[in-house]
Amino acid sequence: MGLHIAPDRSAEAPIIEFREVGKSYGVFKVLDQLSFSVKPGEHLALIGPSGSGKTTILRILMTLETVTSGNVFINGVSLNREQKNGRDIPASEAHLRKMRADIGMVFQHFNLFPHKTALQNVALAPVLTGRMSKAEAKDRAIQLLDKVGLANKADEYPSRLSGGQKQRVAIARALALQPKIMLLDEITSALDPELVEEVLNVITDLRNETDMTMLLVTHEMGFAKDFADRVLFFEQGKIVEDGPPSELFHSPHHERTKSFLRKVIAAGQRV
Amino acid sequence: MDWSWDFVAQIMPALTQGLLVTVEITLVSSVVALVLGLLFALAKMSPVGSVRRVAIIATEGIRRTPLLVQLYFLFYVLPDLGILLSPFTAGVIGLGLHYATYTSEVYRAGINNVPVGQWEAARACNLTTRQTWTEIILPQAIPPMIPPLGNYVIAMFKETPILSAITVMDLMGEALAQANFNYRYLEPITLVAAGFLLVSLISAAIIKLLENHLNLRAA
Amino acid sequence: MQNLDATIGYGRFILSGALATVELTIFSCALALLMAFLAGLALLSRSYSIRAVARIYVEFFRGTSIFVQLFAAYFVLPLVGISLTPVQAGVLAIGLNGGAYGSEVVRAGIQAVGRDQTEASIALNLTRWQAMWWVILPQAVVVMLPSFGNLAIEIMKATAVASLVTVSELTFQAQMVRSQTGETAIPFLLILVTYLVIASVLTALVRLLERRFSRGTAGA
Repeated sequence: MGLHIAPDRSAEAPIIEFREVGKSYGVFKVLDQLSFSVKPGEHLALIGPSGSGKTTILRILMTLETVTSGNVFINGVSLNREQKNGRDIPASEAHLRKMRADIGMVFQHFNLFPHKTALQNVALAPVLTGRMSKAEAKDRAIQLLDKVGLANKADEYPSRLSGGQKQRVAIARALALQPKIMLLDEITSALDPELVEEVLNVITDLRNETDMTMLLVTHEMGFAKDFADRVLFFEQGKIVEDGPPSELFHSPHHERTKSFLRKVIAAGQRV
Repeated sequence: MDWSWDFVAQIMPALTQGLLVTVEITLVSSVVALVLGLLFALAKMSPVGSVRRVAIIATEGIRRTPLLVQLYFLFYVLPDLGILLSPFTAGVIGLGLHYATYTSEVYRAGINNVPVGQWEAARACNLTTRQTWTEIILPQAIPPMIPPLGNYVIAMFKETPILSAITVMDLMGEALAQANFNYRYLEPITLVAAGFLLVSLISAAIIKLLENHLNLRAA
Repeated sequence: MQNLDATIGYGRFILSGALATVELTIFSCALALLMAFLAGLALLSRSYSIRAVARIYVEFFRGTSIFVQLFAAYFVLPLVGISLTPVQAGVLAIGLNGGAYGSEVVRAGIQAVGRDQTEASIALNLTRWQAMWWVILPQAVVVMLPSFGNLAIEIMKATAVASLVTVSELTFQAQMVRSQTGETAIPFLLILVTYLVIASVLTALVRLLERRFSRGTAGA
């Protein structure tokens, strides 16, 4: 087949590549022969109606879902397949753990560990994955909590934090493993409107201060426009339009993109 | 270890007789447990505070002490107070009373699980108290109670061997009598274990089916 | 006065019986806890054969009563070369029986922890065992504790059956007093109260554990 051979490594070698990826639940197709690639350091916004497959892309990258067909490559290495003794087999747990090392994710519902304090939430994984000693991990966690403006909440349990504070702890937790790729899955959808801004400010800082590749799934069109260098508009598991935000938001080529944006504006959002 | 089919054949009639007694005990004590349990549940939900307290103390006291001791109490202590019970009667009362404390919790949970909104809606529809219970509350409360009540009936069936300790000649009683008489424990006890295992596996599967059926209907 | 002497005499019997009951309860609970976690985790294993073995253990011990199992352990096991003292037979039967019920508590407790916690653990690149030990179990234990409390009381109640294979615990001692003195009401009332006291101590212990383990969750 030759599909799983690493692509050429040139200066423009993609950090993420989807090749004809399909994903279905029974007869329901979530992703349909999807191909696209992302360059290192790119800031991507994935937009589109609910159920268009945006979140599934992030979940496949985080290895929370497997693909039904096709291949996903991270730095030219297949995420879902591996070569063992010359044979091409589904990725083992060991292979997946190696691949996950470069990827971090922030969830819509935070998914904080309720039995751990904010500090423990951030410091747990670096210690368990053997990257840092306990003392180092603690220092690093304090720095990260400070960075998201929560140094004073280090010893609080998640149940005592507001939604915005929880999400900022979750961002610090994802950063603790120093990922090269950061996946942000509707990170403000579960927040009260007045708490959205504090989270988006943290993301804006990250965008400007790090060279992480970032993929943002969002319904906040205004933020997508400010955040992204490139926007992908999805519908029914396919990319309808792919371009810089100035173009996609102000002079979209496709009728579907136009009608989606009209609905969003009608719902009161700034674009 | 030498299994003797001849011995099995020899004790089979006695064991069959015992099995009949076991089934009889299960049926009668189930009725006791289901009826008494309902009374306990009503008492525990009584509007009168003292009735509630007494009911809770009584049921918790029974639930937290061994059935075997309760059976001894019925069988050895009551005669001194002038109440003479046959082993069968003492066994049925003991088993039924013990499990009534469990079934009362099923009834209570079943009724409490009907949302408050249903009571309020019934009032808004101007139904009488009686209509509220028969038309609105009980039809919703009873179906979810059936699987747990069924499980307690199975549990009582499995627990009947303990009645042999007060000389009830149930399956276990007959098996022990045969074992002691012939000095052979292997066959009687293995047969009893196998018999109980078989019946409880089958009945648990039936309850599971029933539960799925009820869940489907509720969904 | 003679009544008082007799009561003190019973007292000594009952006290030694109570100690034996407590001992039997502790050992049986320990074995049950061990088996509950082993079988509970095995019930959730990815391997079909491990799940099958655990399922057979659970169904076997839940399918027959503790009474039958105790007699099998005491009278049948010696026939296959395993001779146990009455106390050993009691702990083995009661512990394995309790473990079978406990394994369902462990399984349900683990499954009660949301899928989101597993996903967060994967995103943080923890291994399956790290996720189980550091993330899932600490939360699952909080869910399991009330059921474990009930199970501990069921185990304590089950120890009474060990009297029938001559373990000299509370019920056995009451029977001794009855057969030697003909007294019935006082010895049986005394042991009923003793059982209630032990049950209350067990309940209080579990409450204490619940408070300790519930930090961080449920507003603590």
